Amino acid sequence: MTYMVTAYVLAAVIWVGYLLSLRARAARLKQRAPVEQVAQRSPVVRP
Amino acid sequence: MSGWWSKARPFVWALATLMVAASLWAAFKRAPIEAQMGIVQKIVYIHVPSAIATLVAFGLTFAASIAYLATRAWIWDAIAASACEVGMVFATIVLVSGPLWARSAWNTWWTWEPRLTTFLILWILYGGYHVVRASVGAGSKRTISAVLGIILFVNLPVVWKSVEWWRGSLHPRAVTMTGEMRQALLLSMAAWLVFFLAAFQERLRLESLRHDAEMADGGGGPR
Repeated sequence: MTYMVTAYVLAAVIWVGYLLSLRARAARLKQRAPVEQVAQRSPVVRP
Repeated sequence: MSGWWSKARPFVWALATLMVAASLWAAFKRAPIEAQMGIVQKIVYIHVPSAIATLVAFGLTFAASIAYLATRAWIWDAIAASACEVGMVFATIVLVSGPLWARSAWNTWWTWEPRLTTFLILWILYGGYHVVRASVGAGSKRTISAVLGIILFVNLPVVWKSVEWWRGSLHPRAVTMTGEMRQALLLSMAAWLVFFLAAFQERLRLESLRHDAEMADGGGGPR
């Protein structure tokens, strides 16, 4: 019983950890892309 | 990424969640407890589907790697890398759940029998794929990854056939399950394959975001 429960709990922990890491990585990339796109599209015009 | 693919994401996740829940219900409520091994045999409903999903994922890496070398389109490299990473998660679950089952069934955590040994080699080599991918420069990353994705595929038939090619295997050559046990196993396989698809599309979205960021950086290497 203990081995069976441990196997399922560890599998759940691995999946939750992985999916959270995907979410964190996506959030980082989303944060990065618009700033760079804005910087490229609107160069600073000096008088 | 195309619009329909983005729109399909929540539906695939909903289907995957429902199917995994149904497979757990079938495994714990419908399928009987195995007479010899007892309740620990329930590990089969996560161990075998994860192993099948691993092989499907690495098979997809192989096919997408060939497609990348043929077309040089970034999406094939993204598909190969995404499938490989999700495959590694499934392979890790196989390697974690296996010893827990073995401890109860064979009275040992680990033994160097053919299936276990070849699967461990598979896990290490595909782990190496990600190490290499992270190490090489942007210019050659996609080509080197694709070549690796093709070469590493040789391991898959070795793992699959290991119980027939070498003696001393503790894994059975064929498993015959009947009735509700068989239904629960088939449902678990289908559920975890849909879950693979859901995790894969999530990972592929990440590659798409990375590609957009690289393009914003000013080209970002090959297509």
